[in-house]
Amino acid sequence: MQGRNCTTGKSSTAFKQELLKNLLRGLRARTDACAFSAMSVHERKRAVKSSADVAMAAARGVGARWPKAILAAAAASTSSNRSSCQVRSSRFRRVARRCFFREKRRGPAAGVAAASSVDVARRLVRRRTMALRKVIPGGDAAMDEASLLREAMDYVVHLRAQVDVLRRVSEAMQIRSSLLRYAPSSIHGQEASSSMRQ
Amino acid sequence: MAEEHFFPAGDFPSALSAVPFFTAGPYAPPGLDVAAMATSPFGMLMPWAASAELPLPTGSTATATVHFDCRACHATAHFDSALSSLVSSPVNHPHAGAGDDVAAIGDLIGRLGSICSNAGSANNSCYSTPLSSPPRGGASPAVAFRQGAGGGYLEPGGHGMLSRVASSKSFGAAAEAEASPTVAADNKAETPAKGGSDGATARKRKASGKGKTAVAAAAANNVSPKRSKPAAGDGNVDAEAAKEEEKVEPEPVKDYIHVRARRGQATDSHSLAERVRREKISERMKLLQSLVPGCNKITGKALMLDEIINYVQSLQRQVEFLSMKLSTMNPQVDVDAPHQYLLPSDKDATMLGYGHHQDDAVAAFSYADPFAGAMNHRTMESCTSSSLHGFGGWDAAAPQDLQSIVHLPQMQSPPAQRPHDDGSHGGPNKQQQEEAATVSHMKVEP
Repeated sequence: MQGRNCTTGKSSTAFKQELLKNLLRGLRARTDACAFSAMSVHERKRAVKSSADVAMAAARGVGARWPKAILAAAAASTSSNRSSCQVRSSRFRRVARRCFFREKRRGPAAGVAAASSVDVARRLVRRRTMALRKVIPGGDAAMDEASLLREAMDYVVHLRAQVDVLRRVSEAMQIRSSLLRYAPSSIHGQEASSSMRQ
Repeated sequence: MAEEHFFPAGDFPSALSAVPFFTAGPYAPPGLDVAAMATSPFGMLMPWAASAELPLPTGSTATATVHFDCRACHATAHFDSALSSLVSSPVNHPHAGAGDDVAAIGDLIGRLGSICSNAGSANNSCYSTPLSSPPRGGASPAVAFRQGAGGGYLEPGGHGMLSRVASSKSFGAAAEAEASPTVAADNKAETPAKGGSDGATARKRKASGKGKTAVAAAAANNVSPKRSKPAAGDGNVDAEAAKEEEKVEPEPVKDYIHVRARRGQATDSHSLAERVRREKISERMKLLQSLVPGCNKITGKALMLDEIINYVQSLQRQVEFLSMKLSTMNPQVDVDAPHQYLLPSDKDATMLGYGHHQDDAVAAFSYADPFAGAMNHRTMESCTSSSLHGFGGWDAAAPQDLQSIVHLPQMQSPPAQRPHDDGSHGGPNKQQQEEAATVSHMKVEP
């Protein structure tokens, strides 16, 4: 199963393209709604990240549960902050969830158990399973372990594709900006003239 | 190679999981969910979602039929390729058409049936499906499947089937042409199942049990139209369910599990179910092991889970980092410009360009961004604001162009992306690209 680590599959490419398309649409829609120039760096980053996540979820379709969770979370945060371009409420929600999960994690460990290896192992596994649920979007829904693992697999694969797409986009933009900076003659006439203006 | 199985494979289980999905807990039917979200304030973020082909749980079956056919054909092809890696059976023509696909899958199912029955021959069989337990010989499931699959495969039954439409849509359903001949045939065959398909799906879906044969099965909703042939259908379903087991697959529902106990092991119902569950989990852990890099030596659930969590967190952090990077970059809004990346002449220009290195990043930003006007601040704020004002300038042409820049694998690597790399051209070699990119970053950013 070593082949699983290669990412040049035909369908993974299709997914990445879909993701990219969605990402661009989302960013455009977001900029139309709320000018990026008015946001701070962190808000911009959050906007880009949420666009990327939404794009990934939308491109994934309905084959798994995590896309729904991502979309639901994004919808909730959007509806609460549309006017102000701020995500304080979602931040608060995130913090609240984190606290809740910390409590949940401490809970089972509070009891004193016999130090049998099986119990210890089981406790460890349970704790880690809860941590995994926290990390996978939508993982805290009532899922049995097998389906949680399946969700995790699915999510990992698509997350990797998302990282790949974002990396390529950032590289492309980097190259492009350097090209335009150092070789203005090679670019479009309009931009060249605008560069002359400075 | 194997990872690509993941993408399409994920679609099929959705069909199976669709039923418990929709009936269990917080998840509303996906079509309604996303459609509702699309129309809500969220609509601004996903304006395309409303118009996308989202599954309608009880919706237009006619259109669903057509869509589903195309997708199913395409997805079938994927499944064939997925299966071929695991079962050493020759799946020669993934896109040869619906009939051939069905035949290929029928063969695989037959083979699986024979494997399952051989494996269990020495042992006690405990559970049986409510609809008899036919001999899972190789021939009958294959034949039945072939017969049923022509009509049934593309049948758009209730939720489970429809959910496949959207799920496989995301994987570039290029199989429209293939599907068209089958559409006519299937429109006749799709008779009963709408209402009953859910029940049938739930009944016929099998939890793994046969974890030994770790091969993916076709989605169980393929089976539902074959209710007309229940006897053969069961053997079918068993084999298919075992096949389906392979990677991303449905969670178990409380239906009957056909399991063969191993020799000398308890055949108690609880322990069998427990064993089935454990086998499933361990199988998935193995798959995850192959996914997460560097986990080949780790044995043990807790450690493996640890690694998985770390990996997912690291990927998420990468996404955050990259999005931060993207948000601070200047998009240089010129959608026609991307063509230059594919021209060899640019290479010379960039070579020259990299020779002299300017410090004035801000000046570069401001001159390059026509919208920014005269922005002379050196703070990141202003840079980012000017850059992202440019973001709004992405227009309809951008996606295609950006795809060409970003160079998703089927294209030649634009020479501009590797200005230092004299030797290699084209040939997507990610590692080289990464190195080149890092080098270029180091040079460009003082």
